[in-house]
Amino acid sequence: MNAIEMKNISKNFDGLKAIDNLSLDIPENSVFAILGPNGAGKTTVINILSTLLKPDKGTVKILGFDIMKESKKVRELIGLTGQYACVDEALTAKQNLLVFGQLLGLSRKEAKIRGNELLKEFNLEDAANKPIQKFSGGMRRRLDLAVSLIDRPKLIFLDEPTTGLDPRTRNQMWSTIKNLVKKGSTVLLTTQYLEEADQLSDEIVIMDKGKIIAKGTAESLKKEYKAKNLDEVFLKITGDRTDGKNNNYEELTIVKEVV
Amino acid sequence: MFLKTIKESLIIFERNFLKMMKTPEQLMDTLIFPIVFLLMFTYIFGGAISGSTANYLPIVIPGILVFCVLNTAGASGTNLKEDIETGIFNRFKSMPISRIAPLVGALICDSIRFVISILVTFTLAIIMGFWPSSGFIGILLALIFAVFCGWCISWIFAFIGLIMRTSGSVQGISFVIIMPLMFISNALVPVDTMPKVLEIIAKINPVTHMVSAVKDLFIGSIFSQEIFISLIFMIVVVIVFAPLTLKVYMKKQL
Ligand SMILES: Nc1ncnc2c1ncn2[C@@H]1O[C@H](COP(=O)(O)OP(=O)(O)OP(=O)(O)O)[C@@H](O)[C@H]1O
Ligand SMILES: [Mg+2]
Repeated sequence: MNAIEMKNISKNFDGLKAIDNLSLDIPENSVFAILGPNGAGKTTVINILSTLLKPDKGTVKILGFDIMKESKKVRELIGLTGQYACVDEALTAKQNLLVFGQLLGLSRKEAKIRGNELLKEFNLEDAANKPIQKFSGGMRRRLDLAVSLIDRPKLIFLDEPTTGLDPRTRNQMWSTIKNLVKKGSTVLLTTQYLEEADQLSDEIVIMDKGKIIAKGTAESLKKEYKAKNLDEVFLKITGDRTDGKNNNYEELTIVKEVV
Repeated sequence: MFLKTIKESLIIFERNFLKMMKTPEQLMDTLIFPIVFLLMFTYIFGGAISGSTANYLPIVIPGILVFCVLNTAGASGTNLKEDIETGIFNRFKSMPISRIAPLVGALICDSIRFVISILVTFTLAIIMGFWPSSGFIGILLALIFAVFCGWCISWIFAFIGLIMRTSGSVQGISFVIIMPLMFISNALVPVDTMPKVLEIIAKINPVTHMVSAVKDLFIGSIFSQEIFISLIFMIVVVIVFAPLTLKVYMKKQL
């Protein structure tokens, strides 16, 4: 079975085609990456798939359930880590995990146990009783991911999980993601780092202006576009646009040097 | 289903409560205005308005309590919007929980906010030498009445909180709504010294009826017409704004 089946999805924002007749199947137990420049529509796709946003047109099935008609069931199966951290600033890491664990149907005690497990897994034990306000960006990101994994979802959406993380934390995040897949989950992530898509994902789609403009494995894309690496593929497809994306490439080269 | 919603609302209430306790300055912010007004009007204008500070207290304190209620209700709208701006509602929305629970949890927590801010204001009033003739029962009823009004009115500001773009604009709008309602009423001065037009407006103003109702409770007349009018008004507010708020909340992409 496919984890995700999108058919002819469109979404307009006041006349702007954020998603333009997009169809996509994502197989179970894989890592799937959506690549694209700013404004390509990556977050919009994730928001539609995670039932936050209604598409104007089209249908989506998540693990066999329709996102519109069976949204409740879908929400039981998915975990979402949004582009911007969604944890409670005023609360501590422990309290956050406790609140969300209980909301997911765990008893107070179970939520505590599960929370401690996750704190350990994500190296947050030392900061467990600190308010999130005092967390670094990377810690916040990790806590955010930990919260989305409380009930061990089968399908996990990660919207730019490593943006703004230092190379070491990014590597940690990567191994966490690989672990999730090993345990049988499906991961759909968006990223602006081609390196990341190359490293992690089984399959890649490149989006621009709400459309899929290329799809395949990292290898097949390199072959098809006669490029040495994904950077080149990306540049060849999206053209030489300079709306701030250069920053990402610079950052990327630095990362490569460090890693 | 219903039980599940209640359980989830209570969990979110706990979260809001923890948050409120961790950020006492937020509560202080809503109290500063009423307290400054109480001190300023009593000690600067009180003598001029009522002959002496002591004579002025029974006039101004019901007014300040109502002001405190309105201000806290306005702040609850702002808080709701701030909460939405953090994106936490997106997480709630992506979870298999009742859609309404986060809103209900927030409203339960608001009730506590009302109790705290009214108790603080009233305590200050007692320290300043105010003691109503109705005694303990009257005080209790007056304070419960104030909390109830606050809770009803917070639906209006929750609605504003949901439709405005930023929490800053919610705060701005609340201020623009509350201030004229306060000044063109009997909350701070007797209305019969106002120009005719203002006097008429002041007499229609629901704030005037609420203030009069609190005054009545403070002198022990529990079955006054003013209380009746205020309660009707509050019920109308809830009947109009609760469904509106819920509708916007359920529909909106938060
Ligand atoms: N709520 C909204 N209202 C209006 N326009 C929106 C809204 N959300 C997104 N858009 C627009 O839709 C387009 C796609 O946005 P989206 O956030 O999906 O891009 P993205 O690929 O995630 O970009 P980024 O890399 O910057 O996160 C953009 O042009 C954006 O301005
Ligand atoms: Mg995005």
